[in-house]
Amino acid sequence: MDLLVPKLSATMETVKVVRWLKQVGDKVAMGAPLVELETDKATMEVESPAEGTLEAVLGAEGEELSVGALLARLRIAGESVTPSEMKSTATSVAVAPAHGADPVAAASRSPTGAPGSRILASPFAKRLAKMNGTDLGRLAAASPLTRIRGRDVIAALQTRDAKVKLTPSASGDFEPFSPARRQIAESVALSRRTIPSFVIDRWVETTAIDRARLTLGREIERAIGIKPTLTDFLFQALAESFARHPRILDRRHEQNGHAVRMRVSNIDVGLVVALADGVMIPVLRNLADKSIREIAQARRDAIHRARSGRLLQADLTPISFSVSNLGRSGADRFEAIIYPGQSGILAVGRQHERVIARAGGVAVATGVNLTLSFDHRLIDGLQGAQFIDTLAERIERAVWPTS
Amino acid sequence: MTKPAPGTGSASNKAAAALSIEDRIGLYRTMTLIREFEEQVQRSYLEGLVHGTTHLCNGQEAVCAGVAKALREDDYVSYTYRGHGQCLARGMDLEAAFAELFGRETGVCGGIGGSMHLTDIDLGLIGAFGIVGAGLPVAVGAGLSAQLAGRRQVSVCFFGDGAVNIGAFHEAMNMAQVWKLPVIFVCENNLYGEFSHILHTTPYEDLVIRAAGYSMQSELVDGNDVLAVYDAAAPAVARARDGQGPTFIECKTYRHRGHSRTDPAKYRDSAEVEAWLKLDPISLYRADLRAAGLMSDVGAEDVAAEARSLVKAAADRAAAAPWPSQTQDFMATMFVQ
Amino acid sequence: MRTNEKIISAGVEPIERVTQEITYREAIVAALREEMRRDPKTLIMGEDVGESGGPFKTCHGLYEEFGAERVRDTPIAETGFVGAALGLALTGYRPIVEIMFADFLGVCFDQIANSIAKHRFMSGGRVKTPIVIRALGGAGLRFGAQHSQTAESWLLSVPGIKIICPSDPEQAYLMLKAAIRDDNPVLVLEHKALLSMKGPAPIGIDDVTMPSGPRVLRPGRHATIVASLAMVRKALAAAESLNAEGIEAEVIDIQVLRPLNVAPISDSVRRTNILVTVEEQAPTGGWSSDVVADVVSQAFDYLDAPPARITLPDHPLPYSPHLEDALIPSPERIAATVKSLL
Repeated sequence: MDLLVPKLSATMETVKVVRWLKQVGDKVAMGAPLVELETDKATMEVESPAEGTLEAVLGAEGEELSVGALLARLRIAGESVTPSEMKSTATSVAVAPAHGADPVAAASRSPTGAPGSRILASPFAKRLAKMNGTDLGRLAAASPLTRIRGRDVIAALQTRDAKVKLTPSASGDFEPFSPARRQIAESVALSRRTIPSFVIDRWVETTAIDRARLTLGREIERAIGIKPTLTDFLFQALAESFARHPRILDRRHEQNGHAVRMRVSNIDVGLVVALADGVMIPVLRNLADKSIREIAQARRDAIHRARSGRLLQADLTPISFSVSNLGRSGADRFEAIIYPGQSGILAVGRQHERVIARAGGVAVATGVNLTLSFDHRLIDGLQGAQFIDTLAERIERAVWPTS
Repeated sequence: MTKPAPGTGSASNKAAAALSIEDRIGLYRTMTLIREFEEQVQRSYLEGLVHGTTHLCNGQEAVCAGVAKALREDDYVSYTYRGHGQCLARGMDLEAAFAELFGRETGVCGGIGGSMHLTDIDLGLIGAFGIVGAGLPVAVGAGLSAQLAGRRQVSVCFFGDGAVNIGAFHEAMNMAQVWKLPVIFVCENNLYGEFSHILHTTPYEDLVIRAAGYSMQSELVDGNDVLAVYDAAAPAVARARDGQGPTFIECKTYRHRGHSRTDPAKYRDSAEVEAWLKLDPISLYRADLRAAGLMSDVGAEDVAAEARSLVKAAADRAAAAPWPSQTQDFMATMFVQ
Repeated sequence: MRTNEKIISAGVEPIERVTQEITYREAIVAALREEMRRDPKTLIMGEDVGESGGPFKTCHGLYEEFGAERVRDTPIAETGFVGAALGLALTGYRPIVEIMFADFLGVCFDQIANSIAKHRFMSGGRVKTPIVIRALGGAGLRFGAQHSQTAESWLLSVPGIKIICPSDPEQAYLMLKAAIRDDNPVLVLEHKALLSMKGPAPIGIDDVTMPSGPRVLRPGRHATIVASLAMVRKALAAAESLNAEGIEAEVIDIQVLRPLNVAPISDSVRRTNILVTVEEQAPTGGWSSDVVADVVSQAFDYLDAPPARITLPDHPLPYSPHLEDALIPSPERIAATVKSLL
């Protein structure tokens, strides 16, 4: 049976093959993970839909495949009729298994056998051979004037007795990057390479929030068992600031090779969640209408989704802005990197006391450093400064309801 | 030149006699506005603002103005690539018209139609057809629509003498007459189909003869006399509203310029051109108004100056308008999504 | 066959939907009748569509129900009445015109290609042109060269008009209803040889949408056969005979020629690796050329054999039954072509 590249989100059109977890010839149980695929935001495992044998794989590690493309062929246990057996030709049965040959090397060589003689093979056969490390030259030698078909390559793979590991295992002092690390590496490199960002920061007093956490926060905790955090209040302040500066949520959209400014009306904000190895950015939707209680709930759900690796489709659709809070981890202030496709990010530092001038005197107040990074192609310094001013005003002067 | 002669229709009831002084001066304003617009189009073309080609109607203003005067706001008008005059006579916004000719975003069709395709459905301007004769069946459809809706609307269709030799003309005339549709076929006989004199392509000069083949009411009028055009159009429109079927009106007129911007019209005899220029519809009408004591030469010059300044200002604004977005959703322009 | 199915939606009276076995012709009449009842702005024009019910009886009974104004006989003047459809559409009506033989589309080509297909676009998207042009085409009835063409490709290179090709009563019914509700011009190419074909159709269904592309009629893993109109049934017959030999052919009805959506066909070829197209047209400039080109672009690496196109020969169709039958693609020819590629 054919395994096709699944559609993992409404907008995704391609996936990247991260790693094959089973090799050609392996017996697989139903539900056994076959391959790791990566979208722009998440890595997922595709499971075998049935018990059987992996006949062929179609995507090389690191290769992009479009949704609906053939990913692998599985021979279901008990199934015998495949095109190759159905009409087996001399070519497919006469092939000698590639004993001892280095299949990777064979595949990377030119598919032509003897110099000057072109091997007759269908595009599908060539692709299968390349993906699975089959030497087309050996197949062609058996019957040089017949075009090698995909089924011929599959037949050759079936007769190959040794399981072939395509990926050399890790050894010595070297450790391969995890898929998550590789994905982060690509994202941040892309961000640095393509997004001309600038940074604006401000220390803001959080006394009003602290006061609200004591009153409103406790009520919410009693009601739903979730204690609102500083981040929840920041989300609400952000939502109100976006409502006053809607252009901050604009995104760059590439359309037929042209970049256009895309207006965004929903206030959806991502939350950077640290994981054991890497980060994920689940999304808090429609913040415009949400109370602190609803935000606290949404924040907890989002973190749970990220930590359990169960992102929703909605988490994979594009958004404009994210928040990263390292305050609890000890950073005074930091700059976050804008996620590719987004327009800005807010980095929140540690809550701490500071000596400030107030009303001609000196006072001690609690606050945090807010550091905003913006994509300068969309947002200028003036807009950024006006935005942070609104945000600070909202945080410092706001009065939250007590219920 | 053929002398205007009455057609087969009822003798003119001199509807124009009932026009008020304001209406009469209004007709002069309309004609002058069309003339000044076309002169500006010519200048803008030379400045590189109008692209491709454009077909001017200088000399034919009386037909546009006289027929438009007989219409209601909810009537339907279709016309040809030489259609700027019909659009202005229906009140098309000058700046939107210029912007369309200049290919700008603020054009009446977003810069997508161009000089040959000025359309504004809100003014009943259902379309300019770039293919000779193609608009006639469409006008018949609008006439059928008017008949079905029963609101006493009419559908007016403008076309040139060249169109009477194409199949669509005959199919449309026949259907309109068979179904007694409220359609007014206005033939602007300017004696030339593109570069060819009418007698090279048609067996006779008086195209009104064609109407007889369909038992259709017809009028032959001096298309350079705006009141004569109105006198023919008003009763035809009234008959159509009353369910008495279509009328064919042949307006004898003349193109002051060539077929299109690239045509110097060298194929015309200079004596013929001279003679027709003396019959310029605007000059003739100005003389009429002066003789009737309705407008002085100074007043006429004021009208022209006002039109010129309106047109100039509109063209300047249009020239400053942005180009249409190259990344707009053309599929949505083509199809209702 | 007659099955009744109750569809119950919350708070609404149960609607009785009847799936009936009807002919392709009856499906057309039913779609026209229901949409004419639904929207008083719809009207039909064409040659002898009125009292006589249409030369192929595809308007049977409509004149009696809707009268001469809404089911209007026209002169034999395709340019005239197809052009009139545009005038009606621009002024608030939803005309449906019947072209007696698809071959006569040539008579009104200018109105369709230059006026109807472009009028909305040239207005900058400011007018609507809801027009349905139904045309009956196709061979097999011994009508000779001028009355047997499907005309599928004639307007293929003209953007601005949708082109659909129903291949069975169900699609004839559903797609025509969707076409009448569409706010854009739609050319519905019907096939004369299918008029008496019987099949189930969900008569009375109100929830119809224009399909966005081809439909898979029979799944299979060894070859993809794409066909249109009367060729769909031939392809299904070929698939049936191949099945007896253990070859599973996937049969796809292309059904929407414009906008042409080849992606689902490429998806199929990625699984089967073999592509065969069948169309009742001369080989040059047919839709299958586009299908093959797009599949090669989209799924090159999955092709296991050169795509094959089965078409009419590159000359007009002759009259004699003995000749016509030999030239129209047959299930045997389709099956043999598939086998030659495996």
